[in-house]
Amino acid sequence: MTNHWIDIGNSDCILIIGSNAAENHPISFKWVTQAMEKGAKLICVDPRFTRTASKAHLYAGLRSGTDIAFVGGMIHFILQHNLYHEEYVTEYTNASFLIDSRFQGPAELNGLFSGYDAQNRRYDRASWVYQYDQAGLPKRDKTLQDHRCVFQLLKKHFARYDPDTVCRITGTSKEVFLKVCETFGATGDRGKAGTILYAMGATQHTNGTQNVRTYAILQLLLGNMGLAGGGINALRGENNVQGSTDSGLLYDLLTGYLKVPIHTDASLAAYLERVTPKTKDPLSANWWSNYPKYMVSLLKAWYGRAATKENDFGFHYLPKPSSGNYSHIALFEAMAAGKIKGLFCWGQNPVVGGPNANLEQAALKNLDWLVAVDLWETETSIFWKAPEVDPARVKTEVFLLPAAASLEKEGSASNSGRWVQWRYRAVAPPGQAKSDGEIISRIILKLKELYAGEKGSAAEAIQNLFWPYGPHPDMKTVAKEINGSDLESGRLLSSFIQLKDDGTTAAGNWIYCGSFTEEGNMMARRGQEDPSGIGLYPNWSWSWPLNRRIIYNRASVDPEGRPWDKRHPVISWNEAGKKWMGDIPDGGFPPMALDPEKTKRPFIMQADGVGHLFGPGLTDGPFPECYEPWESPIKNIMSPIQNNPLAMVWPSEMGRRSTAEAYPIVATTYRVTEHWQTGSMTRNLPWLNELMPEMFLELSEELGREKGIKNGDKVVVTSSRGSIQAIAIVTGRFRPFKIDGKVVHEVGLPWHWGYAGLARGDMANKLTPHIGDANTTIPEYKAFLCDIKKV
Amino acid sequence: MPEKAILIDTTKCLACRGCQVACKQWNQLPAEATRNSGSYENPPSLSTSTLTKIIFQEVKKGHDLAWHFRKEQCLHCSKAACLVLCPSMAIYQNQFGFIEVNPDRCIGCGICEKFCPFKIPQVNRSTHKAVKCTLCVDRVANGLVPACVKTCPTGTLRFGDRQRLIKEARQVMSGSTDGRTHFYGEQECGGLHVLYLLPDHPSLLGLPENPKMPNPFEAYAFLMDSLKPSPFKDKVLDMAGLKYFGHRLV
Repeated sequence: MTNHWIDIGNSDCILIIGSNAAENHPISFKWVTQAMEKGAKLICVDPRFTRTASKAHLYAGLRSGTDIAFVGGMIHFILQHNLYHEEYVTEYTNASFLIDSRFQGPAELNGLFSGYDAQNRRYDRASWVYQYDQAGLPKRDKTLQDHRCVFQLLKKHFARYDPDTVCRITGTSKEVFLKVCETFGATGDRGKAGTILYAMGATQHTNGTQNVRTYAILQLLLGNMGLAGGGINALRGENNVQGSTDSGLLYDLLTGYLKVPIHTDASLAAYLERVTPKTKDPLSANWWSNYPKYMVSLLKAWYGRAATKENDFGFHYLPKPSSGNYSHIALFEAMAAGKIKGLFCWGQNPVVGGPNANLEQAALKNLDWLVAVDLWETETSIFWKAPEVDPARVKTEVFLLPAAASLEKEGSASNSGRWVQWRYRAVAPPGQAKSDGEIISRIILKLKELYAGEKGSAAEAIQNLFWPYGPHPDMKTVAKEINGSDLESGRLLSSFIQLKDDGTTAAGNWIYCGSFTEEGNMMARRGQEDPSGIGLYPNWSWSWPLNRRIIYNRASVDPEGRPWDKRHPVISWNEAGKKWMGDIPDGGFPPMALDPEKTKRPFIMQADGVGHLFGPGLTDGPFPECYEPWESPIKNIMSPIQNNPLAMVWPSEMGRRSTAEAYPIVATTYRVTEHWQTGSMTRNLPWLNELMPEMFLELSEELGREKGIKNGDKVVVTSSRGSIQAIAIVTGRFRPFKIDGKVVHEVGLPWHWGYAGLARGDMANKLTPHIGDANTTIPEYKAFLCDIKKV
Repeated sequence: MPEKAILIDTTKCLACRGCQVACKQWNQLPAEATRNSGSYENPPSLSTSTLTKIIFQEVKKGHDLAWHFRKEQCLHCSKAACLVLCPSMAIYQNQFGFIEVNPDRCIGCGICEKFCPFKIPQVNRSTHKAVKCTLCVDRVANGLVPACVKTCPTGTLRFGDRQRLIKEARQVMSGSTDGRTHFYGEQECGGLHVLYLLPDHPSLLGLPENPKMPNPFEAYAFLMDSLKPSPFKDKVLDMAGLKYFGHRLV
């Protein structure tokens, strides 16, 4: 989240798209309800009429996978009707920046951007750049009239997303679509704020990253970034998943969003040169120019005294992968090909949660060993005795380590709003169950013992790992290492501004610097004061970065430092005291109009200091473009290019694609309130099983009539990858879509069930494809093709 | 002691069913073995181990759809049919205005189950005792709110002085009602201790528009049938006769 949970209550208009917040984040509705009581409008955009939709002023249905058309149409409407916040757009975004004359977009190139290399299915991004003047500064036209400026290119790009075309693609009623545009577009007024809540319904597509990009463009145009009640808010699906990405659990990231090195990074200097953004613009803070300080401090935290200037601070102990993609799908494809021999599944249950469950379950048989760390037996830990598997034919040795539950261990959890909250152990774990900290520490200590005395760089990396925790690690010691310290004085640091690139400071995660200082454990604070009056609660726990509650908050004020929204001031400039009041400002630089010498632009994490309407950082285009999902019953109406040309496709899917002839029905997957993720926790709780006992399929009354399926019937659902059974819920909450004059049915499946636990049922992911988003490789769970029939 | 009540604003309910689980947790009630019958709603009805549940109701209006959620439970009537009809005087109204069943006096005749205008009480066929929501009197008497209210994330359920909640509900209904069309429970059955703000006609959400006291002749006939022959049968019928045809009902 750019903002935080409580802040939703400050909004004038809440757009929930790609999220079913009422069902999957019920507590969010404490704040949604509060906003609505103050007059806020709630819009729900979803293929299904959900419990969220039941609460909305406006519900817009759309066919799964057509979000870019929908939000692109909103952008078109806002540009057409001049609903955008002009001063914000001119001053705080790259709208006025001129783009290289070689750049061309899908309007000119039939659905592609300039630089496409069809053979390698990638873009050469050389033309996706600004024009620079002789001083090396980006050329700008603040009148936004130059036909090469981002604003005009944006207009041209989205000109094709007119309401009629959009509704032909999405199947939304035009009347409802226009109402959504007007209602959310009204937050472009000065002093109004609209927020977007999204979740996996946005991201789990081959266009997932670009779906979120459409939100960024929309929110920048309306001037909603940085404001209370504004922002783009990802509702994270697990209580500490924010903490996991902060802590580098993704394959391509170290902690604090530092990048994993690659095989061509021959030295620390070469790596830093490649990843540290540069600018000549004096108005840009370019915060990432501090990258070397964060990286060297991280290496000092990991390798301690063994990290010296002479050995590049242990940089060469880090793995430097060459293939580039070690995402979930890639790992299971490699496992299926017999290339991976061992797997740790730590609180993860890929047999139920991964796409193409049949493939992933079969791949586990190729392992020599599998370690599952969990509270209960999961489908993954018992894959060798799955209903269709003969245990005698599985050679994999499986270990199940019983883990402590959240209330049985001490530590921090980072919520969606970036609050890092400390929690204490309430009870001891039962039996032999151990905390994650103890499990990992004992593994590391054993590894150190096994590698002691061995020669070679692999052994050295383990020998030199700084690991002062012992077999029963104290989580406060770990938290202090994450926070960082001055290695000369031994004092804990209070801000990442104190970090250095000379090896005299250490910090396990630079963005957590300030979470555990000499003043104590800031994450354990429980102060309930709110001097802001907008629910910032600065003394409750601690929020990264630097206890800032709303990021990009310097965009919440006009160039004189006065809040756009006077009712909900996030920060404001005190000219007498020459300082910002309110939230921790995003860089303490003075307002642009008051001090043109010392000021910096508000989007400090971008090298150019502005919000990106034109976003050249993604692999698949600087503007989002509408393509169909990998499996779709429709030819792309926007261009002849059917799918995202950079979608991640693996050989297992080649020739396996479900065709619209054999599988004419669009399917999507989701969760319900009553179960959680793969059900490994909730399907072992009888009270929850009572509420949601069985796997089901939801379908429209129209499709039910067509297929002779009645409410409560047992049905078979089939895709080219597998087939499952479910109970039919025939409901008015699903409606057939009229797409380009043709009726398209959509059905929905929850993915909570499996063959372990108390409540069992078939796994929806036996149907889903091994296809990933072009930028993140997140699987396309949310739109694929199937067929159904009554058993 | 001012009377207490719960005000249920169904327009804020998400049907997360935290209340359903919290009720079972506080009252230590077992889960039921259920099936999916083509709906999110479960268990299918109240029972001796399910004292409250959310009813899911899809309502079509032209092209628009509404999905209503109503928490079903004992509404604790001021003029409670169960209290009036109970031949063993097992049912009484406590200091908060809630209707309670004294299990020591309950003979399991089932008249409360049969004649409740809201079809709430359930007789446990093995213990022969009637059970229903107590409004967590054991919590309320100790200064806590009922378990369901405690767990509600959106403020759908609010607990407090009955008169104050009525005042607030009236204010809502006289201002911008924001989708609320009916306030239910102020007058019904002498005044309920579970009050509803509703988005549509009560009958569309499974509530009787004009809940009525049962006919005493029917109730007496039911009792004559339902009571097992026993030395107490005549005594019980005499008591019931006095109650029904004396000064209470007719």
